[in-house]
Amino acid sequence: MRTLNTQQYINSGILEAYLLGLASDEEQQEVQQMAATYSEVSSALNELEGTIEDVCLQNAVPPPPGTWELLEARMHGREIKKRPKEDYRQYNRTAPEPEKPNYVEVQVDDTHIRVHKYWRPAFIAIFILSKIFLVLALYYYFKSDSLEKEIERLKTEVHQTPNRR
Amino acid sequence: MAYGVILQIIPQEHVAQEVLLDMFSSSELATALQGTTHPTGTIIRLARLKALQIKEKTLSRMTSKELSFDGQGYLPEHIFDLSFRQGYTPDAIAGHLGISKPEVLKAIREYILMFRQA
Repeated sequence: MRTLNTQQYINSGILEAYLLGLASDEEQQEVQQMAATYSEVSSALNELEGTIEDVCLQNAVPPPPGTWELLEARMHGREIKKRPKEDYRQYNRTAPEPEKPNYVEVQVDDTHIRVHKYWRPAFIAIFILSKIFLVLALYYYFKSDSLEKEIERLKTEVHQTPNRR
Repeated sequence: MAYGVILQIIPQEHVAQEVLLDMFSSSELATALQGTTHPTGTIIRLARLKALQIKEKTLSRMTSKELSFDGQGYLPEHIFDLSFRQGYTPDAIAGHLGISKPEVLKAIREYILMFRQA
């Protein structure tokens, strides 16, 4: 181990290189060993990680819309057509953007659909209302039927009454 | 955060998105995060590594490993760009600039400190 004091080691820039992935394997092991041995190095590493996180957050860019859904689909093992590897090879910093559509084709092979959660109470309400209307329809149907029969009976009775006189 | 890191290395959004998806759907991230005390650093390192791997596969320029400085001097920002975004090792940068490796590492530290003070 080098005979640097811990403060010199912290100020050397090796911790930044370690956290950013710029350090060699040997240097990475050295930093881990130093952090395990010296609390100053460990706390400097923690503090620096916070700073680098702030730097990255300042430069943070939200992923394109639909990334989360694509990731979720990929994690659940759904069949997603990946772009061919050639797409990467075509990449060139100076070349113009390839004229490929900016989406990934997704093959949905199941019979299920996802709907908004409010559809459930809506379906229940529609079901209950349909039952109420069915009962009411049957009630009024039989009522009108019985009334019609009653009218027929009364008509017959009225027609028969003068004959009796 | 990871997407921002990838985008710094690969400006093409659709390629950067693919790298991000690849990173978060692979088991590498879970393995790397196991037992780590520095999760942010781990995510940054892995995002950078994945982006550089794709960039290296796609750019023949990387095989030549020739640095071009365009007279930008030894600014910490430029050294950070060469090492972090373009993937050159501190040794390669030091060798080309004719400065020592500790000076390269200090320049990277200076760049990070600039953000802390800002």
